[in-house]
Amino acid sequence: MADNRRQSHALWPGDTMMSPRYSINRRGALALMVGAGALVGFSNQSSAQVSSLLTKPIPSSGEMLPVVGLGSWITFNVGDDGELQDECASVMRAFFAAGGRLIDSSPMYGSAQQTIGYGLDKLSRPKALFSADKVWISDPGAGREQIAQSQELWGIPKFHLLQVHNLLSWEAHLQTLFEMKAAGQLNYVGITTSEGRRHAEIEDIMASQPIDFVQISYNVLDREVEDRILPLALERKIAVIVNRPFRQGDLIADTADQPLPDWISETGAKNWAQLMLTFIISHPAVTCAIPATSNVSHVQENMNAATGAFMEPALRKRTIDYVESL
Amino acid sequence: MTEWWSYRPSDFLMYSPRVYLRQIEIYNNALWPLQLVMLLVGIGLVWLLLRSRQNDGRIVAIVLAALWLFVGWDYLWSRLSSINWAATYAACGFAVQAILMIVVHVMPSKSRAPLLNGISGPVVAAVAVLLYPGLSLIAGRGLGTSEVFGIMPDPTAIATIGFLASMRQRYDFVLFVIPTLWCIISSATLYAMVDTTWWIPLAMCVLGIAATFA
Repeated sequence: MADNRRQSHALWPGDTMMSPRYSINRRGALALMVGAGALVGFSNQSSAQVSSLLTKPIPSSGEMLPVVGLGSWITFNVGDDGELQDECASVMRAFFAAGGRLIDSSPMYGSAQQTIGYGLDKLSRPKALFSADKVWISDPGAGREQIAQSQELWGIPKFHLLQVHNLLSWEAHLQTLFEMKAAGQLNYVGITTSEGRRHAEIEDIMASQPIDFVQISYNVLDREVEDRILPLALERKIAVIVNRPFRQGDLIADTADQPLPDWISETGAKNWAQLMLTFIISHPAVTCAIPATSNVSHVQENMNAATGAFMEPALRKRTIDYVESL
Repeated sequence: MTEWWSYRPSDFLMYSPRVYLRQIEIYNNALWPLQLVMLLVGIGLVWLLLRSRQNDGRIVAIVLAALWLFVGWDYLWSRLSSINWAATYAACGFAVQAILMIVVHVMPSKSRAPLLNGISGPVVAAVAVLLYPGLSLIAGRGLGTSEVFGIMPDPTAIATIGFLASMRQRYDFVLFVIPTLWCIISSATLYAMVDTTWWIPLAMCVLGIAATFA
């Protein structure tokens, strides 16, 4: 890890799709990221607790985001179970304490929004929060009402980012979101898909609509988005959020008994989860990965993946080859 | 739904097994000792079926309708829906089943004795009432997550299929639809949760339907 940090070169040398924004030398990039990571640290915690996180800019605004966020699919859907709500609040506390910002949810995720609202209340509303939610309703006219309900559940006056979930009624909802953004009720607009579905439509929307974010599934084994979507995101200056970085835990479970590669120290990772996360966030098009967990030690482990260094392309290729060989 | 063939049962599972089982345990604790009452109610219904006197079918149908309403409201609508929004639709289905039970078996003015259609139906019902609660032990989930007839949907649906198999009437086939759908959903859910007993709701449902034609 230390060796990588000392090298001075572009983030991904030789990548022809690289946007000028990324064409800075390694030392400069790391200094910028570390500095920004400190700036966006959890305001309600002492600065000493906040690690220096790798960050990347949201292309449409330049706002820096830590490269690891927090998903809430399944893990935060705990209903009215007070004990489990407290566990989720602890996960959020650990996330913010480590310098995390982006929490992602959806009306589709059961009680996850309610759990996030509970956690934010318990943590005295951390100012570092970057709230990312979705609109998910087939009635094109019901988007605003659903968004208002989501804001109430989170307990926030407005979202930083709203995305059209799985492209459901996307034409009408995108229009609503663009109107909200123009009115200052929203900072960013995005679209989402998962597990490789509807990629052709995602590409069409990315190419034709002024969206700020796209959310897709991407991991060391599911790399279809590398062909067209990630290059298009770089070209169109669209931030990329990566969901299902561990295939909902399957990748970690499948590799748990496998030996870590003997060159893992070159990646800065210390375990499988960090290796897989570092692989994802090292793609120049990826802005942020959002692993979901209900376990405090896991969120700390995930956040530690954002304190190392980005992998070089050769190391990413080596990671793919190794995981595929298992 | 686009690319529907790419979806697996696990894609629809929006909560963890731990959350699901804790919810059942909390629900059971809140209702205790109603489970014992329901056990006696279930035994009583099986006895009525076996006795098979005039109007026994009506009594069974009224009690079952009440239990479908209770399970739909108290478990699906009030509990499960907090972690699975689709449970609200299921709760409506349970209410529809209750109405159908009344319409088909209670409202007809001409009183009909339940024609005991062999012993298979009551056996399926008895298994759902007496043995289903023990399934949680076999699955290693502990007694706190036991699923009891009249309290939880699975044994209620399976027992109902058993009762229906015993009381075949002209429009009975309509009454099989919702319990069968529930058993399919339940097995798919348990399968997605990698529960070793996932096949049991479906198998019991098939046995119950088979008993109808036995």
